Amino acid sequence: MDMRDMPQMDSKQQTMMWQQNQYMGDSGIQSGATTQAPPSVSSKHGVDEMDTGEDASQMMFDFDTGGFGQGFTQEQVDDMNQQLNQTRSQRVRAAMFPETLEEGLQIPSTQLDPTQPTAVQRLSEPSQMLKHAVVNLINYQDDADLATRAIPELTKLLNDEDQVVVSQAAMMVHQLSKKEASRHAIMNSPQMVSALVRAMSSTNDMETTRCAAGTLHNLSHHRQGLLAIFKSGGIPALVKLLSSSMESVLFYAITTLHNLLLHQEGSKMAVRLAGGLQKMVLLLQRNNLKFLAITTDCLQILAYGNQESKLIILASGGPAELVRIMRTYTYEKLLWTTSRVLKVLSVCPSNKPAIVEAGENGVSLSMHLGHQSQRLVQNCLWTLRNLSDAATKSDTMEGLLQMLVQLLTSSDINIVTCTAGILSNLTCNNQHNKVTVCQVGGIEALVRTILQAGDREDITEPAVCALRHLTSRHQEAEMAQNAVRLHYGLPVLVKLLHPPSRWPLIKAVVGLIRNLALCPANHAPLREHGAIPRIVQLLIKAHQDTQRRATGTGSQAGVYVDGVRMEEIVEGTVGALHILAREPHNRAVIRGLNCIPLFVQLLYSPVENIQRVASGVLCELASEKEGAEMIEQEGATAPLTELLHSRNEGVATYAAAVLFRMSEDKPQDYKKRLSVELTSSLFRGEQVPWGEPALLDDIEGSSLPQEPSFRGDAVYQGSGPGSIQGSIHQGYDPQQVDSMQGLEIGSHQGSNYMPDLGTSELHFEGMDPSQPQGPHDSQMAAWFDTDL
Amino acid sequence: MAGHTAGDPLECYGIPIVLQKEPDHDENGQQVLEEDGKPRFRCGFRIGGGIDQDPAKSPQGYPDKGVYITFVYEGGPAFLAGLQVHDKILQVNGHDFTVVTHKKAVEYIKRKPVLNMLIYRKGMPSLQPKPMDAGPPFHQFQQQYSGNQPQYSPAPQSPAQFQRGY
Repeated sequence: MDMRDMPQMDSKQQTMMWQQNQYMGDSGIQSGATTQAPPSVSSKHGVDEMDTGEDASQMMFDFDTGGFGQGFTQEQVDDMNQQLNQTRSQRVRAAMFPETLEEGLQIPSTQLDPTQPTAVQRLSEPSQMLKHAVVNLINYQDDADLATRAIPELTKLLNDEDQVVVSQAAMMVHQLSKKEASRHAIMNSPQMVSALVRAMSSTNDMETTRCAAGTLHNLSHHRQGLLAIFKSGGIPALVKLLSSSMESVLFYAITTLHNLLLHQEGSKMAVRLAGGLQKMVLLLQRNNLKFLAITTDCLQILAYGNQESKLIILASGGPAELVRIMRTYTYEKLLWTTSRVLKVLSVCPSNKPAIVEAGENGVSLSMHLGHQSQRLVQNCLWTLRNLSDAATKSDTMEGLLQMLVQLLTSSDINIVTCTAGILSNLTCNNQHNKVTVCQVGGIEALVRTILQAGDREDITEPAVCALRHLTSRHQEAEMAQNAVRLHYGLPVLVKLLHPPSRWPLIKAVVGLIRNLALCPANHAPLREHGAIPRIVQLLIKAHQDTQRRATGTGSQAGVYVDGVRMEEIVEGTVGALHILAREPHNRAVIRGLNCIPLFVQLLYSPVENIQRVASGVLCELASEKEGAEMIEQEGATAPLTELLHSRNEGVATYAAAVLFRMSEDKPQDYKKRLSVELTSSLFRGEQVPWGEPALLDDIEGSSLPQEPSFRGDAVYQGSGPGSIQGSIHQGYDPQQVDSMQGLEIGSHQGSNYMPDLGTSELHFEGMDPSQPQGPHDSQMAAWFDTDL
Repeated sequence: MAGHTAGDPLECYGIPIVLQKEPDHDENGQQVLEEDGKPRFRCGFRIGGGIDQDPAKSPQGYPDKGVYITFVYEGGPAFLAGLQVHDKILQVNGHDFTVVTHKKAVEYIKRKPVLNMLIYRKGMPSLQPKPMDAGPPFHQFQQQYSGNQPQYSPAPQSPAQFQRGY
């Protein structure tokens, strides 16, 4: 019957069709694709589609295209009805007991519309559930009956004095516990469970113990079972069993304990109290893999968040055993559970050194960093990160560092975050590590990480800190400073100074920029990327914060924002500007930003470090006349003069330098007074230039005001200009004498003299040979020379 | 630099010279000893001047009361160190030689076997007001200080930040 040929039917005819049970369309209970319905069924798309076994949804019964107006004879209708009736039972059976269907049986389906299931289909699922329930009931009934009658008996027998009886009873109970209904009966009888526990602990017979333990093990798969065991004091008994020599007993005991720890409230405390930790650590010496996996998992559950447990594990020699496992085995689950225990322990400050030592600074962990299992790698990394601040003293970390640098390129964010943190800690204050990381391409990797991390501060902060460590205070520092620029790190770093970066990250970036500015080649790029204005902005903001709060609280604690002290930001930014100001164009920019008033204000800060960086940057800015003038206009002279007396040498020297530079164009007497002031303040009696302890005596002997000296000038309080050189040289090598030139002490009378010419070019400053030089007593002798 | 008044602050370029004295030998090759038995050392030069001397009376016509080297022995320690005649001694071992008496100068020089000296020599460029690119000496100066200051690497991060054991 080809539907395409059928004329359009009116509704009445359609209803008649329905009544005649002509169901068209095909979709069996099974997928229509497999059902080959008899030719009475056709699709609108033609027979060929049906033959290829198309999905039933393709075959749409479409009333609109003309239905199936072709009438059937009554005979045909009866025929069809009979067919459907016969197969009805098959359909029902198929719905309820699909497992009983014969292979290859084709049941004509009655489903008209694929979206509308037939009644049988709708009932198929509920009927299956019903079937299962009935089956269960039948089973249960058998077992439950048995159990209800037998349990009290068995309980009595378990409490018997005769060991043999107890043993037999235990075996019975064990058998019973293997089946579900009886298991429930056992669980629900607290007396039975107590009897089991008692029998287990007090017997000498291994068989009894084994059966009882086995029973408890079976019970432990159910919540009520766990509760029953817990309530009847099963935990201490099970912990005692951990010392057993029988493998199966051990296995039952540990597995039961494991289930208890996982699911039963209060078990952790009970296990700890019963001394379970020590026993479990001892068990780590065994070599059954699954057993070890369960034991380590128990340890992890017990130690998590509990400091005391961690200490007990440490005291029992846990770290060494755990590290041994990491080194010896390759079973992934075991490695994973062990790494979790190590991770939990690595948080404890007492455990840290033990783990570091046992694991040779993370070698045993790092050997798994290349493993396929992500969870294992992740745990190892977390553990390493926690350990990394305790492991800074070793020199043998090349392999680990190389591996870590490689891991920076991983696509897993957690791994990258961890690795950056580890690298940051390992490079902190450790020259050897710094050099190693530089040599294995660490700089490039870190810069790339920062580029890819975008605004994820979890990653950028430790990465920037690591770069900061790598760019200073080791022999490859200069190379590192250049490398950051060569790998296009500068733009992104300057960008990180802007929002949404928070203060911890900003502090790290400012420190890094300061280090980068130590390399002259970085000066221009940093300026071009706008680092200087932004740093000044940050400085102003931080400074305002300190001012605002300081007036309020006036406390020593400092102002914290995001956990960072604003004073540190002030110090950091000014420090960075200090180094940046080495370059003339940078100085021009800084001057243009009108920072000098702020720097002068900072000179009044009580914090020595801030004084130092402020005076340092002013010193640089004073290199140009403009700068010096601006500084002076801000009234810097007074605070600088104060700072000359600072006990911090750096502060005093920078202050002196600025004052000298500012005094360039001043009249002579001003400079004289200034140098006197500097002399007197810079010279400290206890300091000895060039290690000459006798100097002090000499100077006292020859030029102190008490003694009549050639200097009559009352202005000189101290011992003359030589002392400036003296005091500044203290502590530095003699070559520093050159630097004195930069200080521009006093004036200079430029002229050349020629020894054999007494020409007018000779400029005798205030010197009149005919006059005595000031009021002094000694006679001027005739001129002579001495051979030495 | 010429004609510097003793006691005035002075600023000029100076040459640092280290002079190692040699033990003094007499004609027979014997070591000459001082009164107290210690070997005598010689520097190999002669000095003249001092604040108690009148430079107008100096044959060399020195312009001020500084201490000058009036003679350098060939092959002597002073010669080997690079000292030249008419060098003005500014400092010896930290002592300021622009304000010493002659006797004191001699004493300072005799005191130690090694002399760290600062010399002013005719012909040296006079110190100009600092141009912009005269930065380097000062930076070296700074560098010294930055070496002594607390470094930027902080202590390792406190464990609380990075731990995931909990």
